[in-house]
Amino acid sequence: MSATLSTPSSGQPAVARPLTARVARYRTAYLWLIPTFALLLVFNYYPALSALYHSLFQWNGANIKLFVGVNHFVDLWHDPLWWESFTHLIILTVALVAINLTFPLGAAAMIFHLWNLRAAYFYRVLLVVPMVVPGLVILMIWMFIYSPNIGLLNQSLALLGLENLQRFWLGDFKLALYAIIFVGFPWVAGIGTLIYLAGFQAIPSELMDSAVIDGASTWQRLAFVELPMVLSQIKLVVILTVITAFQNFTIVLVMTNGGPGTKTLVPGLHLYKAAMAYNRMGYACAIGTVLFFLTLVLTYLNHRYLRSSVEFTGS
Amino acid sequence: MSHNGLSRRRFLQLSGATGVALTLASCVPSTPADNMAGPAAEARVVSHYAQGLTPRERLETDRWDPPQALWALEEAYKDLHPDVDLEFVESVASGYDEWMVTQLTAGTAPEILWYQRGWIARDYEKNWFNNLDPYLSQPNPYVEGYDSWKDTFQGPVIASGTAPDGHIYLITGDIVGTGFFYNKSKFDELGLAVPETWAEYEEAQQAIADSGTTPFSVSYHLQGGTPLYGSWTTRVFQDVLYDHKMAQISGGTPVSRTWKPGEGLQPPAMVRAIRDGNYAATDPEWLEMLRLMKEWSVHYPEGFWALPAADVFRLWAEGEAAVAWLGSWMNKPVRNDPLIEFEWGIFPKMPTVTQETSQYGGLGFPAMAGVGGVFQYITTTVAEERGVLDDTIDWLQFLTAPPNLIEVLNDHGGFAPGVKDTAGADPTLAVYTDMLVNFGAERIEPFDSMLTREFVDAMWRNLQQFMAGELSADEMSSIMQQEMELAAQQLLNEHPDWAEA
Repeated sequence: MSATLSTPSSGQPAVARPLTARVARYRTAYLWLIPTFALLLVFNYYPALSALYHSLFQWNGANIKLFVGVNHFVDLWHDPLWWESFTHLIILTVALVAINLTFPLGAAAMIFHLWNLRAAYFYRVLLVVPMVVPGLVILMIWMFIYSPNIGLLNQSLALLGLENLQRFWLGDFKLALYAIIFVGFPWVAGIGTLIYLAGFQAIPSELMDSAVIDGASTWQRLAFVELPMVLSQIKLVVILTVITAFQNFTIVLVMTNGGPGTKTLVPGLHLYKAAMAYNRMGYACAIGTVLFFLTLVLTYLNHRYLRSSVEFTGS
Repeated sequence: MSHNGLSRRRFLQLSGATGVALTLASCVPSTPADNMAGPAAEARVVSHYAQGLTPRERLETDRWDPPQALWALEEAYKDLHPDVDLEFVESVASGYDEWMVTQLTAGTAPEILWYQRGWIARDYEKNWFNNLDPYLSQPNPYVEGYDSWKDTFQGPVIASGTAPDGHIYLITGDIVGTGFFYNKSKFDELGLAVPETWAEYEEAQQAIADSGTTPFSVSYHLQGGTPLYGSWTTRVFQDVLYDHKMAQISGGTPVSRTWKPGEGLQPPAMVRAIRDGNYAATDPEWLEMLRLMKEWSVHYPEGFWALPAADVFRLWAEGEAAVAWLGSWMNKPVRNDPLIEFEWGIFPKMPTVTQETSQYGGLGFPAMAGVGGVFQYITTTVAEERGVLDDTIDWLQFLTAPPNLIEVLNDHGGFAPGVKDTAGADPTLAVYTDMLVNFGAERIEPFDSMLTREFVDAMWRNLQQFMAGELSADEMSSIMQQEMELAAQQLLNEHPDWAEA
C-alpha cells in the first residue's frame, strides 16, 4: 500500500459511461435505495415543503386556514421574542461549537496517543457507554444537580464552605442560559469524540513516522500533522453541532421551559409553543422555514470556508 | 471457492424485502386499541384519559394510595357490557395541553379526554369535541328519579361546560377548592391566632419569619409554579380590588359574586371591556394588585421564582414553611403523609384586605375554588368516526351515576361530587365546598382563560420577572397592556359576534 498527498483536483480522469448504462448496471442497488428515499421523501422532504407552504397561511391546524402571504415573516421580523430567542441561539451555538471543537477533540487526541491499546479501547468504551443513556434521563440528572435546595451543586458548594457561590442556577436570570450550556460537562461522552477518534485512527502511520523522523515534537505533530488530517472530521462536527443547536429545544423545554422569564427561550421552543400551545401553525411554519434556511446557509459557509488545503488519498 | 452462506444478491433481496415489509407495516395507522392488553376481536373500545383518576398500582415510593376505583367500575361496567372494552390512557407527566392539541389535531385522541373548562372558548369551533346537549337532555339509564342526565348534576356544575355558543361540551362532575394550610403547632408555639385581616396576617408572617421559618410556601417557577400560584393570587386579588368597577367592566350590569361559573365576567365580556378601556393592565387597581403581591413576596421562600413547584408541599410538610396554599387534591396526601409531624389546620377564609392595607380593599376574598377539577371530560369527535360515540356516552353516564361518581371521587380524596345526590361523599371535603358556597368565586375571568393562550403565557412569564425583581410594576403593566390589547383584538377577529353583548 502506498499513500500520497494530492490536491483535490489531481485525481484520475473517470472513464465516461452513459448514465443509463451505469444505472442499468447497478439497478439492484438502485432498487433497494427506493425504500430509503421514499421514507426520506415522506418524512423529511414533504414536511419541509409543507411547512414552507403553510407558512403562507394563517392556520390553526383545525378550522381556520387563510392565505396571508408573507405576513408571518414580517411578523417574525417584528417579534421581540424571536430576536431574543435568536440571540440565545447564537450564544448557545457559539458555545457548543467551541465546546465541541475542544473537549471531545482533546479527549480523542489523548485516547489516540495512548500506547497501550487495551487502555485506549477501555477509555473509548467508557466514552460510548453514556451515549446509551436516554437524553431525558441525563437532563433529569442535571435538573437534580441544579436544584436550588437539594441539588448536588449547591450542596457540594455548602460542603466546601462556598455558600456564597450558591445560586438558583436554572432560575437565575443571568446564569440560566450558561447553566444550560454547562449541561453535559465535561462534554466528552458524545459522538464528537468518536468522530475525531476515527479521524485520528485513519491517519497513515507512514505520515506519523515521517514526522517523528523529521524531529517533530508531540505538540508539533498534533498541530501540523494530526489536526490538518482530521479537518474533515472537524468540519463534520461543526456542521452537526450547528444543525443540532438550531433544531434542538428539548433541553430548554424540559429544564426551564424557556424561563426564567424568557432568558433561555430559543427559536425551536418559540416554534413549538406557537404550534402546540397557541395553535399558530402557520407562524410556527414560518419560524421553521427561517431556521431551515439559516441552517442551510451556515452549512454552505462551513463547506465553503472551512476547507483543508490538502486531501489525503490512500491507494 | 464455495460456501453455504447467502450470496450478496440474495442478501440484498432479503434485506430489501424486509425493509419494504417493515415500511408498509409502519404505515398502518395505529389506534388506541393497539395499546390494549388483548381485547376481544369484536369488542368496541372506549379509551379514556382520566387525568388524576387514572388507576395505577401503588409504587414503593408512594406515600399514600393512588386512585384505583376506576378499575372496580370498569369491571362492573364490563359485566353489563361485555362487548365494550375500556382503556385508561396513562397519565401525561407534563405538557398535557400540547399533547392533547396534537392528539386532537391528528385525530388520534382517546374517546374521552380530560379538559379544562377555561379552554372551551378557545377550541369549541374546531370540531374536536361533541356537543353533549342531545345526550344531557335524555335520562341517564343508570339513574332513577330524574328527567334528564343533566338534571342529575348540580346546575352550576354541569353548566360550567357551556361554550359561548350556548351548548354544553363538557361533562363536569366535581367541585374543587383550595385553602391556606397552616402549621398549627408553629402558630401555637408563637402564640399566633388565625389572622382575619391582611394587616394581622402581615404581623403573623413577620413573627414567623423572625422565628427562622419561612412564612409562606409558594413557587413562581414557570413550570407549575406561576401558572398555579400566580393564577390563584391574581384571581382573588382582582375580585377584591376591582369590586367597585365590576359593573363598568361588564358594560353596565352589576356582577354579583356567586359560585356559578357562567355568572362571572366571561371572555367575551372581558374582550369588550379591554376594547372599550374599561379594564386595563394600566388601571390603578391592576397596579395595586402588583404592589400587594410584591409586598407579600418578602415572606416567600428565598428564590421562589426558581423553586420547583413540587417543593411547595415538601417545605410545608417538613415544617420549613408555616403556611402553604394547597388544593383540595392534596386532602388525601396531607392526611396520610408520614412526613407531617405537626398539628395542622386550614384558614376558614383568606385574611381580608381592608382599607387599612389598600384603598381598594374592604371586601372579603372570594373562595379560591370552583367547579370542575379532576372530573371534566370531553368526548372527542373521533369517537363518532370510530363508531363508539354511543358507548362513550354510555360509559360516562354509568360513571356519573351518583354512587359511582362518589366512589371514584372518594377514592381520589380531593374533589367533592358535583351531582345533586351526594350521599356518601367524603365529609372532609366540606371545608372547601363551604368556602365556595359562603364566599362565592371570583367574578373576573381568570387570566388562564380570559384571552388567548399566548396572552396567558406572556402574563406568567412577565409576572415571574416582576416578582423576581427583573421588571418594575410600570414595565409589567405597560407590557401586559399591549399583550392584552393584541389578544383581545385577535379574539374579536376570530369571534366577530363577541363585539356586542
